[in-house]
Amino acid sequence: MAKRELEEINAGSMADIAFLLLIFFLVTTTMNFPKVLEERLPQKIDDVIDPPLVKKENVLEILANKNDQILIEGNRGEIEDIKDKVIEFYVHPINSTIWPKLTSINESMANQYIEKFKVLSAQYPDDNRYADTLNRWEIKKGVIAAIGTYNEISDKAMITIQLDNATSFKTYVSVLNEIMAGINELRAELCLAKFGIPYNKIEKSKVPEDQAKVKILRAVYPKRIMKAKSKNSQG
Amino acid sequence: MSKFSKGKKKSQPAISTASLPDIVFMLLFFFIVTTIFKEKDTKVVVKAPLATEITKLDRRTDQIYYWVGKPSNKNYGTGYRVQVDDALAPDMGAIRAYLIERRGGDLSEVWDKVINNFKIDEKVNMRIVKNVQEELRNEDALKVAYTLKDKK
Repeated sequence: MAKRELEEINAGSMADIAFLLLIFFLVTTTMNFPKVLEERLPQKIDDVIDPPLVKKENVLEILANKNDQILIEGNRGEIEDIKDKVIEFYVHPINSTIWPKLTSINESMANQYIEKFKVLSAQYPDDNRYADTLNRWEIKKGVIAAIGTYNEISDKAMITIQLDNATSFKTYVSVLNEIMAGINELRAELCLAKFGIPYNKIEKSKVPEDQAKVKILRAVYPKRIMKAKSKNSQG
Repeated sequence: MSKFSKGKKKSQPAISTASLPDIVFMLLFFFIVTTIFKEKDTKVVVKAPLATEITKLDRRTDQIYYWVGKPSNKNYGTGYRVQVDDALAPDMGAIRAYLIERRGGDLSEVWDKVINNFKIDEKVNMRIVKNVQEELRNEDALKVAYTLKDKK
């Protein structure tokens, strides 16, 4: 008796099935990954407190009015001018009186402060201001260890954006974008000079060493942007 | 006897389609890997402004989407409306209610992992944006991102 051959399964419809799946994925998915500009909203505080008095030179004031016109430090300007002002805000001669105070800090200085605040925070464990300051100096010491002596911008320095209720979202985004462009340019410059790699390569990296580098760059050029209350802030 | 037989033509063998499924599967896997699912259905039209300093968001991040724009369906009115995830918010208070519902009984630190992703039309004025964000601040959801178009 002849052995019965095993019948082959007809694979002709396999292609159809695969096509069906393919088309399903083509329709339900999208190629363009969303790209975003991130921001952190200020925390809600219950009682109204008067804003602390800040020195004029510590603030870079950018104002956008209802006609989407820009005022930088009280002068009419264009969106494109913001970037240069931001760079000047962070990097300027150390004895300048119109820009935030820069302090050149080195290792011995950092060690001194760390010792001082270690003692203080041990003495007053309830007061976490000392622990905070100690923490800040330890970060600074880490920065010095990585890039050497650097000029640190005053921790009171900040960029404020003042908007009108009728300012368009487009204008707000372009102001924010230009500020970030300035800060990113400075960080990229420093990154290339000290680490020899482009900033955009490590910015979103998940490698711990890269993240440490990004932290250092962020400590030197901190992003401190505040949305100031506009004059007609009701409703 | 001729060397050039003019008789019946030799029929061409049919092209084998056996490898067709493999090719299609390959395409299929390519698309599965390189694309992401479309998020929600949008009920408002949004033309996002251009920007240069934008970064890709990790696709696994937990996100709440907010769209601000004019409704595509005129039945929903002609003014700017806010859509939160799937539904148009009838008023600003509804946003807060949605956030509370979304948070459930969890602690506020959970919000640090959630990004509130805004897609706002470029012509929308900041008053609306501020009002929406005020609701977020009430619920301590402070991480915000604006989806923008790459200017390149």
